[in-house]
Amino acid sequence: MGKYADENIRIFIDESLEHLADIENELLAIEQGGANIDENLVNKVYRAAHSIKGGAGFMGLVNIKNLTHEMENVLGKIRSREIVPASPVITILLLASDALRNLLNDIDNSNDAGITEHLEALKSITDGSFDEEKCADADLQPPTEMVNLSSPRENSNDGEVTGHPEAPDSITDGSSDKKKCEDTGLQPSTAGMVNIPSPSEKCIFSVADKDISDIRKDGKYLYLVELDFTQHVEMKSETLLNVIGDMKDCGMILDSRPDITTVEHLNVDKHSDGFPFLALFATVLKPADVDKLLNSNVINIYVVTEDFTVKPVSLEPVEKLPGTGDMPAIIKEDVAEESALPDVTAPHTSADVIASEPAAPESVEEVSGDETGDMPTMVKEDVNPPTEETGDTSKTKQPQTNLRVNIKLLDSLMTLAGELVLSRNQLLQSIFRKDRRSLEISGQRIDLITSELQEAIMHTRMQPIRNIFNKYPRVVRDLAMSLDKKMDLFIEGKEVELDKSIIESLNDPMTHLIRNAADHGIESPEFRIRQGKDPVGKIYLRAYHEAGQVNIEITDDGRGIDGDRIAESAVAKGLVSEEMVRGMSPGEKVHLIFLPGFSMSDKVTELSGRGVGMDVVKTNLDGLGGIVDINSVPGKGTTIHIKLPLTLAIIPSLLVSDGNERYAIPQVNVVELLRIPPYKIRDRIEQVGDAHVVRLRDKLLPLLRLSDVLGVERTYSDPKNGTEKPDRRKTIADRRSLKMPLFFDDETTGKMPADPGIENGGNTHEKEPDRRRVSDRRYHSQSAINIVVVSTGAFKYGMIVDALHDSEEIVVKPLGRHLKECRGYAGATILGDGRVALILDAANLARMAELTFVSGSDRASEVTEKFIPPGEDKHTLLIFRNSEKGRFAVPLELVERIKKIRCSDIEIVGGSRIIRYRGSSMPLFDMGDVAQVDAFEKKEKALVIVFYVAGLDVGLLAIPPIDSVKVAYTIDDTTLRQPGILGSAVIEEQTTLIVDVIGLIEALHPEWFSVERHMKQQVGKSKSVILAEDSKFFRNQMKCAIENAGYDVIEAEDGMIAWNLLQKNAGEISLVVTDIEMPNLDGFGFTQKVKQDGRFSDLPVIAVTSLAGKEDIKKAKACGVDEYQIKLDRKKLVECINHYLN
Amino acid sequence: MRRNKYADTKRKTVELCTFYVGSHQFGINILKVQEINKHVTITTVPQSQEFIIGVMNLRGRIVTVIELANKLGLASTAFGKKSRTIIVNSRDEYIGLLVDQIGDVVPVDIGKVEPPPVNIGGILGNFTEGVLKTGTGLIGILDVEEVLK
Repeated sequence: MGKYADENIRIFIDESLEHLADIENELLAIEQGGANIDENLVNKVYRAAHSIKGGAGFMGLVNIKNLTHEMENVLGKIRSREIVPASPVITILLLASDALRNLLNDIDNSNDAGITEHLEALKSITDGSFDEEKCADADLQPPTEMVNLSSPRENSNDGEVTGHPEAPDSITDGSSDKKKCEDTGLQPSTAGMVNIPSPSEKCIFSVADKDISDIRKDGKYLYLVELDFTQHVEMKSETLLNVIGDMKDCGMILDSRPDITTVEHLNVDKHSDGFPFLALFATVLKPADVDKLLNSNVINIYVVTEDFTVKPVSLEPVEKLPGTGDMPAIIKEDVAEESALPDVTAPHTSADVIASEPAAPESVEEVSGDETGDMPTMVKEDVNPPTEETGDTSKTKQPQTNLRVNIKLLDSLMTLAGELVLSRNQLLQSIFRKDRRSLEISGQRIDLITSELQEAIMHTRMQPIRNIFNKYPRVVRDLAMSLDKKMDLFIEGKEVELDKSIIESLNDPMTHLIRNAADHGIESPEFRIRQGKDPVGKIYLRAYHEAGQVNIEITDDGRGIDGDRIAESAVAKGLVSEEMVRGMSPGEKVHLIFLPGFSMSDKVTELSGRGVGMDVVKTNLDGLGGIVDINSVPGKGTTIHIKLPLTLAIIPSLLVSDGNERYAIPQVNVVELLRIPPYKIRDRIEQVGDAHVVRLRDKLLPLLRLSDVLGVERTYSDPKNGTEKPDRRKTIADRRSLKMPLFFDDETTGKMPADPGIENGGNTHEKEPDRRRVSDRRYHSQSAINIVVVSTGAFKYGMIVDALHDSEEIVVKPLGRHLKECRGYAGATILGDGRVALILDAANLARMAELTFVSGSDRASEVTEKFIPPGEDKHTLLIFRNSEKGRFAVPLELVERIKKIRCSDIEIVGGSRIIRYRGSSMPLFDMGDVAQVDAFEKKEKALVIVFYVAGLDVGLLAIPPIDSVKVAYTIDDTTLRQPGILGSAVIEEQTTLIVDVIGLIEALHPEWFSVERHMKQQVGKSKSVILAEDSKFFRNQMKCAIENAGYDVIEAEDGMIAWNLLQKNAGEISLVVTDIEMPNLDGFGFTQKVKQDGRFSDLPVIAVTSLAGKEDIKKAKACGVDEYQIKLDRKKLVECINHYLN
Repeated sequence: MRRNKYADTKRKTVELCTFYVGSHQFGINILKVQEINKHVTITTVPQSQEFIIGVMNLRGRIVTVIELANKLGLASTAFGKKSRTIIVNSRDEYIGLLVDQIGDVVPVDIGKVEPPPVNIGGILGNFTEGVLKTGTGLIGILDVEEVLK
């Protein structure tokens, strides 16, 4: 084989892949046609296979040639209606085309790749059908001659090898082979068979004449090879298998004595004692080359001539290739071609030597069965190089990529380039002459040409989405078969064009979505019938343009997604907390599917549930600047909506400014713009905790201020002199008022936050009276708030910016390597004035602001809920450590929130640790400050558990990770009791100290509680409260809280005791606080007793519990409970008591 | 070790593009330098590392500008009449280095480059490839790749 320029191979691959791309869909169409064979279609595939074969033969790509050859054989039979293109057949063909594609994509190693299974599978089809065919057309038998096989081994397999057109073996005498065929029950094999005698006349090979003619057509020679083992094996120390291997490598063994499989499977040595091995060998090698290949001094090689006689090769080294009489021209052509590559091996014909295959139909089934098992990989491989149609196959190894461009397009590009040059000349001239008018004209022209040029160049990169859509019929078909479902795929909008790079990266996520739809979406036919649906599921794949974006919809009419199950699963995996889920709409719950790490584990199947979740899909699409949305109606189906920019290089964007810089927000993320005039700010913008929200059409939209997320100092420019001043307002709705002028100090007095100083209403002019300022600011247009409502697909939020500018088409440029870690930017662009503007990544900004719609997921992932046997009284504890050894627990109800901090942010002021938190300083404590435990271990990061004690937020230092467990436990409050420590409990088999937060703070800062004490004294004779609570721990906590508020507490361990105590102390007690779940007498019963007793019916009853179901509340109300409080929200409890008692 | 880099290059002399950061004179191999720019408009990049001043537009390319003084642990550079941005080519990317003042191009005999004195450890030591003694003082030869790591 000569050395071929890379270029030739390149062209070949490109072309072949193009052919292949067609083959797949046409095969599917053929399959659908079933017995009604559309010859045109089959011909098309046939031709495609044939051209690949031709090219491969020319290039010396043996495997590819062999494979296409076999495919061609099968197709030929389909065309001649010898085979019905049933699914199993098509499956084999499809798999073969996959294998072919892989070979093409890895052309360098294609000759070494193993394709035998495909070859066998294909052959089994041809063999099997041959059988039928043979039955059908009994034909003449060419003359036969008997060959002697000195000691033939019985080939026990032969009987089963019905597919084999060979005559039964073990023919030792010269009787007619027809008879033999009958003997072995292979009645049809007599028809259309050619018998080839061995030179020693002891053996006859019987070969289907169709095979022979095929061989001839392909320009192959047919040889009879005889090996004398006794000599050969010993002399050359080469085993028979090697020889067979050699032969197989460069041709096809049609038949052999003994059968190859026997030889291969049994010990060769057994055979080597003295009998020759005979094989019928078809190859393109010329006699002289065969000679070389097989070392003819130990092997006798005979050429089988046209009339099926054999002649020793050595005698006729250049014998003309024999052929069937009717196709001489073709043969010659082929011979010519092959003679160019003397050492190239050739494909073989349908007759197979590896003949232990069962009869064709069976084997087909078997293969298709296998295939389902292999399918995921197969499909994946098929899917990986997404570019085969574009001829861009290089993804695998070579970085070389080609793109086919319409020549017309190229011409128009050339024209445009020419025009551009002319305009440039004009422009330069105008500049030189300072001719303003012609400058304007050339400016306009250049503008025009540039946009045309841009469009034209874009077009060269545009590829129809067909390139990936065309794969899915196959994917769906394969899935349907392996899942035993029925489904149809409807594709719409194949012609929609997208940038090449987007199309390439779209492939994986789309495949995943399609698989999901087929696997999880569509139900089994039986189930569908039961549901009253059409047993055949439908998947729609739609692409269309809308608003300058490409929209893709994948809709199935399957079972839909049950939001609650998703939510459950997400909670179970610790991705979100239950509380968060509770507040979610069904739609939001479905969106949880996009959470990183989410997977419905109970539905994992081989096909789509392989640990790769929708989050990957989302990440992929995010990377493309796309947005994915999901809509699902349980029982009805699911729609996944993807929005993509047309191209990644140039995107329409909205320019905004914040601080001193301008930023670009891709238009795809922009939903709408919102401007809130100063006088409405107070009404529209609300604060929830420290988060701002805006009321937009009766929905709350979370707001984030760009400058905060980016950590830029907010500024506003002084309208008077244009200087930038820092903006010090803390909240959006911060308004200056007479009472609280915002800018107290002289330097800022009365500066207008002219830039819509985000929130702030206005400012006024210097030295004017406050009153004037207040009124003025309302009318200053610039003090309105500008909000860009952006969507990340899963959720929307409002981004507050200083100013909104135009929408512009921007060219995306990558940021340097030092800026890669800045996640808030998707790149940069150059604006008209030459300045650089950063492109904002809306999704990442939200993430940076921890604004994900499941915002607590970070924390939630640290929190796992442990299974608790029902019926036990259990509490959720937050387990934390302050050092390796110190393990503590605190009831989760006491915790306000948990905050991640960096240890470097901790400041030490006046001997105490503080951290800036929500604009003020929050004191930090460590368990080691009070209790006899190890001190806090400083690491890079720490967690602060925030409590609300004595009217203040205080933080307790902990090292991550923390955990929360719901357990039943008993506190040992004697052994380890000390200030700040309530006692110990064994939680998760470890001794854990239970933190007494109030005690801890009190020990450190008794003065903080003095106010309350003071209050207590004011109350004078304190009122008494009866507290019924079975859990000692909670009783203590509540007692402590109530006592701190200045009341006396009478404790009771259950409802009965409480009732008795109440009766004893009637008159003294002015309020009842009771738990609901208690032994002996529960809270409901206790309340009823209280309310029904005339003495106490006026007594307010506050129920505290962790039960918060609506029904419980109802029941409690029915029993006469005045107030219902969540256990351990001490602040509220105390407020509530105060309310009733004062 | 570092000197070997120079020894490896077959040429006997290299040209150094020298500049000042504060009062210190530094040099980098001129082959690394793409160009030197005067006043450039720089867009700040919030949330970036502190040694990054921002990004600039260099004929359509986005170039990250780094404050060399910060990297070297010296007093920070302000934009001024004399300040310049040296655009260096590092790993197929242009990166701007803001320096206080630009100096001469100095041809250097490789043999005269001395290894950095051991007592200039710390950040500066890590970035210095060698030291060259001239009539006026010492020029620290910077390893650009190391600085830009």
